[in-house]
Amino acid sequence: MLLELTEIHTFYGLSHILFGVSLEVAQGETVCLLGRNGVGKTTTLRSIMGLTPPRSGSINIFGKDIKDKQPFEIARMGVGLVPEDRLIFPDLTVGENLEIAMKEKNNVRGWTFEKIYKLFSVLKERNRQLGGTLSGGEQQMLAIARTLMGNPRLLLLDEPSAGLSPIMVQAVEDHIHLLKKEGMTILLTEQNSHSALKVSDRAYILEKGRVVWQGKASVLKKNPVIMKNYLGV
Amino acid sequence: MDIEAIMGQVLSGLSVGMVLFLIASGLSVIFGTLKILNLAHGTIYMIGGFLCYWITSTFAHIPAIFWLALILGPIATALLGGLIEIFLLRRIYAEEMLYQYILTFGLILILGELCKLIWGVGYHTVSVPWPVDGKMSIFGMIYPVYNIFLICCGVAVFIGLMAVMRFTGLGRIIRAVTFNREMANALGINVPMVYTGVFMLGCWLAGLAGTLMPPMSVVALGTDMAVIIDCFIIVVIGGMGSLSGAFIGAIILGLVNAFGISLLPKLTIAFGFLLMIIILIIRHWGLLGKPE
Repeated sequence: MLLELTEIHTFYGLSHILFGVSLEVAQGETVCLLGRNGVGKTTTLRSIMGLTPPRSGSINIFGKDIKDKQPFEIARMGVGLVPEDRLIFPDLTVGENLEIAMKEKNNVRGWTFEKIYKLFSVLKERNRQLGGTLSGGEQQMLAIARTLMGNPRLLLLDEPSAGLSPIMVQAVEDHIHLLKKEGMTILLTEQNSHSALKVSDRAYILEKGRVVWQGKASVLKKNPVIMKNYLGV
Repeated sequence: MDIEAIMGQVLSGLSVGMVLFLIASGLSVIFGTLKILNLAHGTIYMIGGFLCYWITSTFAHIPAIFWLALILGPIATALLGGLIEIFLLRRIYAEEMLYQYILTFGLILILGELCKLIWGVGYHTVSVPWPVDGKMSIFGMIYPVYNIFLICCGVAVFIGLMAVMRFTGLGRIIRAVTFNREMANALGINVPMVYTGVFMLGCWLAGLAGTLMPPMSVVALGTDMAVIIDCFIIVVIGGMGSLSGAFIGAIILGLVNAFGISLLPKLTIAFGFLLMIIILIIRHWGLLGKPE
């Protein structure tokens, strides 16, 4: 398994958020984490990235235990996180936002500026504009592009369609499909299960910090009872 | 006041203001990036002054020793800053703000006592170094060259820092970490190393100011508290975390103090605080800061 979480318990200060979450993602798979607001989806991604390390349980990425590793070390192993609030550096230009995420000069292997600008043509036009002046949809594109510049082998997308117009949601879905074709392994979270299930191979449903359902996305799509029980849709 | 006296006050205000800028810029850069208000920043400045005195008096036989002290003093304070960041500050980033005040206030006491142990309680002076020891005439006023030299140093450091922040990869990294340390960390930037580097840079600036000041002032215990208060006034006026803000704040405070002394000597000490209070009332994020 490319990513393997075993019984992780994660806390914010004193509040216990994740209660023994286990999940797996195989090479090349797209997996989504579904669930209502506040069930621990973001915390799961933050645990993997090392931003809020679990207090117990283990996380293996590319076969290595990441215990005691700092986020930048995990990033350098080949993990990339696109946070829900995007966190584009507002007083850096679009080009500088991309450049800062590069881990080696010129990215000879992997994602180059040309390749990024081909995939996200809107960013090319705005190359010299400050990140803070972009629209929400453009910021989401830049956030994904910026993370790709670090050549991740595992991409963590936190609510990629949150707050976007239907056209931009479609654009984000298209980009996820393209990345899948490139062989990228993706773990994404969504409240918008409709959009997430369109791009995912498998799904996990979280409730109150626990995995309550897991299985194929195609099964979940055809099972309105589960969707209604856990997701309220 | 005639025009010559006014020019004299302007130059004197600017030269003190520029030294204060060097200290305040370090305080501001550290606060902007690490979110640490280093109360002991003035003490680092004072140590720079003692180092300048110690180097120039111990190795007085070496020609141009002041200039060597100007290189070594700031490096020494930067290294001291590195030790403080790695061994002390790093443990408290996750804790409440109160802990950083207790820790950095503790450093004021400990470092101050160490200075007392090493250099005693007396006043020390450092003579003005060649070739900036003469006087020159500006607008008909005779003026010490050293003060002009200080103004040039302040402006040069300001331009240098702005250029580093704006045009270099290091500057981009510092701006990114300043905006959001977690995001920068998750993008593969070694944030702990950036923290150490920025803290060392801030202490280097304080040490530089500390080494530059003795020829026109004295080296003594207690100078740390005087400058740290001035620096707080400057960063409040200019805006926390803003380099240009610190520059403008330092010029304003320097001028206000200089004219205060010649116009209303008894109230001089109040002017800086009055200015700060006015800014806090009408624009509490400072002239060039960003509202939260």
